Amino acid sequence: MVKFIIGIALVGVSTVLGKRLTVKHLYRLKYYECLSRFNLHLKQNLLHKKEDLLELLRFKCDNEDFSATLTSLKLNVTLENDASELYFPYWADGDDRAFLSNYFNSLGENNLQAEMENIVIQENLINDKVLKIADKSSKFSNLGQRLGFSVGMVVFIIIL
Amino acid sequence: MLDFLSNQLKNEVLRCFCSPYEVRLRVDKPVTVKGSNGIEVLTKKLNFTVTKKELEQTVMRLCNHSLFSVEDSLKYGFITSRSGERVGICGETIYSGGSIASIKNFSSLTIRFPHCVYGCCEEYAKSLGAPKSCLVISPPFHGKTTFIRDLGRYYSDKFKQNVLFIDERDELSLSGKFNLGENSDVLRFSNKRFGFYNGVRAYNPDVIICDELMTSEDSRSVEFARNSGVKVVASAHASNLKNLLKKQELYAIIANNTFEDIVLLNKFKIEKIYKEQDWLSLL
Repeated sequence: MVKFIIGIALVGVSTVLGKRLTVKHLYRLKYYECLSRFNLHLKQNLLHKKEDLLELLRFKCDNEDFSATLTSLKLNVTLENDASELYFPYWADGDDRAFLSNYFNSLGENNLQAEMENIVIQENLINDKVLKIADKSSKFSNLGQRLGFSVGMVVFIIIL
Repeated sequence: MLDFLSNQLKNEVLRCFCSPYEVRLRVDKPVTVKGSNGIEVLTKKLNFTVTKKELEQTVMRLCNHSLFSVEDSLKYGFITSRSGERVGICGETIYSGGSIASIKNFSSLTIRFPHCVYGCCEEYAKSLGAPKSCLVISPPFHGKTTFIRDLGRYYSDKFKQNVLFIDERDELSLSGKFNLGENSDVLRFSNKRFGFYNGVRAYNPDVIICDELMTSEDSRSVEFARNSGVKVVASAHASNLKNLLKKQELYAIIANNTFEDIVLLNKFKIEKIYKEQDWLSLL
């Protein structure tokens, strides 16, 4: 009976672990979705209000990591001699860091036309990324869950 | 004030004069500060230089890291800071489609501070029975903007006129920080053409105030307002009436008696008030 209970618990824990190991794809997806909305916000601003970056960085988003990146950028802009560094979420790999650094550091450096062209290019890149990450996220999320469950079941059978 | 300068430079400047008139930053040259000791205007050189990189960082802070947001003014060689300082920018001009699109490789900055002196126009305004169209002239840095701002406020409050300020660089109103009178409207960051033509149509003003007439287009806009029955108070750069008449762009509006008075300022004081017969004798 004890073995059975431990086995069931093991299956549950390993399934959850499997899912958690792949959850970073979901976080990445949510982050890039926010980035996409922020980019659209910039585009609309260039077409009408032309407010400066500090105003634009007040953008509200329900993703904590993305809000933290905007806050770090705001500090970077406000403080002297680039005293603050851009915040990257824990899941950000080399490619993510390079992409996000390029994106955020290029904001406000150009005149209106060049800024708009840059934002349109970035829009395409971000949308492309969102699609790929969404695909990866759904695949890996299910895979992690299944693998976790399978490993748990194997251990359960061995215990029995 | 001076929030776009580095803390160290800001402290140096403010240590020199607590309320400076002008600060000049030139790459690899000492910073100069102009201010008053209460008796006369002095210029001091600081033991402080700025590098090219620091100057560029200053410009980026000045526009809150958003060159696109100041593009319209940058192509005319200046940016107005959030706290109202007008910063003239030197560097390399960029052409696009045959006209100047922007400035790059900044080499020097001239920072000027708007001053609001309530009552500075009263010596002139109190002699008036009713609002008059008036052109205020002087070389740069003799108080033209301060004078026309105060005259506009006087027309608004004392003569109860509806006064429209065309504030191209946010120097007249300083984003609402300066009191322009109870009956005033402010059109910020608008060029003169839009301000005069649409102002007459849409805002029904009795008087229009604007700074620095320079081009033939400006003159035509003023003429349009005057012919529409609106009084105009404006300013122009000139050291005297003779030199003013040498400016082709402004000659016609002087000759047509667009203005009833021309006030010459010298070091923030009225030096002379020219009347119609003065300029007619010179034409």
